[in-house]
Amino acid sequence: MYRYALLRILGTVPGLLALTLVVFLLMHLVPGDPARLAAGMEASDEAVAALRHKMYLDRPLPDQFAHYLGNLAHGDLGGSFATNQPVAQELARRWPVTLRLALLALVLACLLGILLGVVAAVRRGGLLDAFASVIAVAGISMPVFWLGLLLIYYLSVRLHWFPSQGLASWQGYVLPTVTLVAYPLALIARMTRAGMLEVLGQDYVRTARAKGLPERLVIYRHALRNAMIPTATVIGLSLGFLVGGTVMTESVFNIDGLGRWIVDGVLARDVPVVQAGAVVVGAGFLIANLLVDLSYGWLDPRIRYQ
Amino acid sequence: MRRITALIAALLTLALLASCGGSGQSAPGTGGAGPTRPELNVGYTVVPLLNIDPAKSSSMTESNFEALVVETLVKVDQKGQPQPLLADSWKLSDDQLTWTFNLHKGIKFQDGTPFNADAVKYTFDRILDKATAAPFANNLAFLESVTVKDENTVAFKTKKPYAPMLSMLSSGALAIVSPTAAKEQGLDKFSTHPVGTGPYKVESFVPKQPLVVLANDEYWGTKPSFTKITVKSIPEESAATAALLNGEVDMIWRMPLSQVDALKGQAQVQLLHDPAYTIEYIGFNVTKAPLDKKEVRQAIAQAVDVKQIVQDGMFGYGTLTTGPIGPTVWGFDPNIKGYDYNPEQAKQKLQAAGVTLPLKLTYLIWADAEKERVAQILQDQLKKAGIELTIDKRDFGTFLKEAAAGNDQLFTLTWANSTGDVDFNFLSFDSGTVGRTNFAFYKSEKFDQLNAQQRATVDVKARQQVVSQALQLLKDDAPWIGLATQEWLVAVRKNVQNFKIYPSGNFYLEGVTKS
Repeated sequence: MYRYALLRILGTVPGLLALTLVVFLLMHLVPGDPARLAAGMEASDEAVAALRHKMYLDRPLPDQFAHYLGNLAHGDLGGSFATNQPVAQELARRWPVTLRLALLALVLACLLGILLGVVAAVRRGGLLDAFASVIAVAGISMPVFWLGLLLIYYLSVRLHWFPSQGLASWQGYVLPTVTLVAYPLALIARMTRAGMLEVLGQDYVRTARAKGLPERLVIYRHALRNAMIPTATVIGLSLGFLVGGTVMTESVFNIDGLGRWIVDGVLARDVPVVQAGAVVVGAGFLIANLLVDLSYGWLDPRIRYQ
Repeated sequence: MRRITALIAALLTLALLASCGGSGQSAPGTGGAGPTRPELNVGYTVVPLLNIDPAKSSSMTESNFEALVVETLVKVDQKGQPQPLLADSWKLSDDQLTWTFNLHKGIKFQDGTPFNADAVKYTFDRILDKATAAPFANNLAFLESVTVKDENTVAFKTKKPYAPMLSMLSSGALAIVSPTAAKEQGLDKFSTHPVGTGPYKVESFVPKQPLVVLANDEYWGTKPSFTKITVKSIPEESAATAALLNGEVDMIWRMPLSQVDALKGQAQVQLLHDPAYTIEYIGFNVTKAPLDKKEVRQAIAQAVDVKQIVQDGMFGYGTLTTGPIGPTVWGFDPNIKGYDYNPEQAKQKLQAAGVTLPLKLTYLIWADAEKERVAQILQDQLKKAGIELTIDKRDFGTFLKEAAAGNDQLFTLTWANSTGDVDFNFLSFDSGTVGRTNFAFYKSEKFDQLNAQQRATVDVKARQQVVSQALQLLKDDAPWIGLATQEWLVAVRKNVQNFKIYPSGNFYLEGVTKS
């Protein structure tokens, strides 16, 4: 398994390089002049030209890309066109914010989603199952920004229970986390319920019950673990959602995280920022998916990696 | 079971680690007012602050908030009149070339450096230094030299008589900075920690992050009324409204039009609005046929109902104007009126000018709710005069590039003015600034000559006459359709009193209190 993990990690390197190249090309193909945007409208043509030279934008594209990769190899992510700050420094300030939010949402989504799914499956057709269905449908169909705005309007503007923005206190985390958790929670709950229903009808579950095991053990030890494979896949998929979801959540709740940073970077044609952001998000995504793949073997020892 | 429990435990640990690790965002002064003086929390929705070194700033908002920290020699009051600030008085020599300023004595910069004539000279040298690459340096071409006469007297010599001198010196870009701090810190550090003579000093700032300033208790003027001011970017418009209604910020600087309705009927919030210097306009690229004929431009101007655009496009928050400047800017002439709205006549004039109808034109705008609203109204209006308008919407970066390259026919833009003098607006028509600030590509020898003349006419009455001639010429040549002077919209919670809006937008908080 370690060999497999190592190979997978090495396998992400060409993927990340390709990602860097695609982002680089995209940022240079879209129209707009980063130097003019950074210098401001009143700046003279000479000042803009000087800035363009400083930004390395007046050289041929292959040169620019080689220059970028060379710096990257030395651990230099360059300077932001818009703020003049080192990209590494801006990145360091923002990624923990986003990671914390995304992890919090993911963990809550897993715990509550699985619990809700199991309960719904066990009490199939009951009131709890109906409740779980409502949550699942609502969670999947509500757009992130809309849910965020609703929460802000009712829970902070009307009732003053939570701050409407920022992550300055633990209360600040509540609304963004709820906003972010809704969709993956719904997805995981539905998948777990479906998986459980399938498994609960199997012979070995009947056997487990027949040999007198307590129902709790039947469900959690025998049924759930076997129902978890599709759920694990969905958890991996939720990560993709979380990447997009944090962008919107960070905007609605005015959180200065990775998502908003990248979006601002795109709008300002801030090439170094977008490149660094894309690579970090891409790497995070690849690593998370690797973890999900490794979890299959852990959940079902029959699965072998080669 | 064991594996599931282990999984749950692992997830919980991860979450815990995630929520403990890193410092994240620090708490910007929420509530908790000091025993005597309160704190003020300001939110704003426009482009975030990036560089607050007055010499290096390129956005209006940066300049507006820098007024908390740095001061200029002259200040323009709410009526547009120059008033003493760091300079007590001034005198113009008989040959009209040398302006001598007597500086206020006994002022110290926030780092203890004395404010004197050397500091003034240093500030200007720094702006003109190529290594600084100050965006405003372009506008100082009129200057011959800055000379230190004695400790508290400084003389500005101009190449030719220069009428807009006083308003020019009120521009935030020319605020006087501490030579010691500027030299010690260098451009990088000074861009986030400028040191001036103002009522507040920078406590902390990083681009795009909140700007925190503390009261400067050594301030030479009226003692600042807040211990601490936090200025914070809230780009998402509805988030700004929510923060204001929830009391997380005391005011929103430049409230977006889209949020005005949300504030109506909110007892704890008050919406203030006053005209700015900034003008919004529709420009013609005068090099593109048939817009190269002034008759065609005049006819199109007649087909535009500016009143309706301001009413429906800007929700009435704008002071109607039809020329290139609004009433807040010095040089405005109420006798020069715009074209009367008359689509039928416009149609006839277009045909008389040899245009076959329907005339197909494109209108370059950038993605912005207000610009899009105005564009749709314009499209409807022009249809009545037989013009089919295609809206070409881009993001702002692309928009600027296309407009500067002249790849457009009609375009819209706002022209900000940091001094309140017409001289600044005329930069949009000078043949020397084509493609840079003159996006209409308008070139007129007669205009250039009148512009040079108004700049050199120091006598106020005589200068107004020249300006009026130039404005009349611009009306006839019609490179623009002026729409309205923008209004500063500021939403303030009722417990903040006496907040005044200056046309420049500069943040002067003297007399403002919070209960």
